[in-house]
Amino acid sequence: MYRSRLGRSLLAVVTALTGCSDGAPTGPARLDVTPDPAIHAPVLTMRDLTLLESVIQPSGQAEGLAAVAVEDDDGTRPLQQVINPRTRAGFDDGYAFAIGQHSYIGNVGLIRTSTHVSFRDQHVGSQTGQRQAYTPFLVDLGQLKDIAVWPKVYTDHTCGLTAQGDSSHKAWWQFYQGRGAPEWGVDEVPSQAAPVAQGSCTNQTGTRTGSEERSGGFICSYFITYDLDTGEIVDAQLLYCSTQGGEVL
Amino acid sequence: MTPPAALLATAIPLMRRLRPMRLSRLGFVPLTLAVLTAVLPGDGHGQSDRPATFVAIPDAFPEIEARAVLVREPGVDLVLLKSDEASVDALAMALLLLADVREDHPVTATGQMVPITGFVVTHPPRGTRRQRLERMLDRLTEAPRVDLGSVGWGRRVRVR
Repeated sequence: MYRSRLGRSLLAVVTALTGCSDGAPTGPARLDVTPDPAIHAPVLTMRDLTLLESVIQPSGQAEGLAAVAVEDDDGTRPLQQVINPRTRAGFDDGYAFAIGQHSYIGNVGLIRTSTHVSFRDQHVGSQTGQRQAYTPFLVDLGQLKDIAVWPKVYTDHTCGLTAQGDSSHKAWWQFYQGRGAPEWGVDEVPSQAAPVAQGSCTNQTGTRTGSEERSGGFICSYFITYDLDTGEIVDAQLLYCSTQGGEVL
Repeated sequence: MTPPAALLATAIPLMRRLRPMRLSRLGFVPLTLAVLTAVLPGDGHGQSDRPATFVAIPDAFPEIEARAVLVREPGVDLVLLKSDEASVDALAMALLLLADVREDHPVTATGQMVPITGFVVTHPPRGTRRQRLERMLDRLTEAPRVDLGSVGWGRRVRVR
């Protein structure tokens, strides 16, 4: 009696443990035994996938000039202006890019540029970068400044891709930084880059050579890690495009 | 002989030998469990390598430029598809990328999100694999709505 009961217990333990170590589901009943699949991922927005950079450009020389400027500063400045706005797209070793740049008059300059990548005439991904430069109002004195941003789309492909880009160039005046700070004289100009192609892939015919086992294609994705407790983003890697292939299931 | 049967064949005679030593039942059971735990593969080789894989269509897809999103947390891999783009191609590419991400980035103390901004299928799934994916999507559209966690409610099926 004791032995058979022990045997049954042992059998139950062995069955349970070997079932766990197998890994492959054995039937519909197994599918019910799952960890809680309610995820804790952050609710992403496009802002999370945009490279944001804000810089303050204090000028050491201008501080002295600012003291003079304050005395007879009547709050007016030369007309704001976006000068020579332009975007250029291209490829470099390991990435596609678009460079957006302009010169401006105003104490705040902003540029927002997107690099777009397409494969076989189909859009597969865009990386947007935004840069804002602020010069304290009292020290700006209408200097001509430059601003640029160049978001990249990383890829291991050396053929078959096309890069394009577009930018929004902006300049204005603002007394101080912060939400709700009064702005005036906003000037905004768009620009677009001509598409640049890598060249066709002469060694890839695009025809199937294998059996039905292998599927694949070209895919672009971000890679983001987040805190499981708080859902806060810990790290985000830039957009990467590559070929994927293999057995789907 | 299968591994569990072989293990039993080894363990039971061993236990019989131990009986004359008058081990109490309380001492015997922990000993058995300790032996089995040491012999059988643990988490490092078992379930943790093969997380449960789900495909879901959330009611509200994240407001980002993405055609699908992979979410990975300890023990769970989830493919989020857009309701209006839930196709065999989208599912196939997401699962292919998932296999690659599994290999390159083991889930540790953090969760992983992989928004897929776009893809071009050059070698579409065919034959029985395509049929399996189609059945998966059929099951998904008929699945009841459940709480998916932080992405809200949606339809979900387990695929592995």
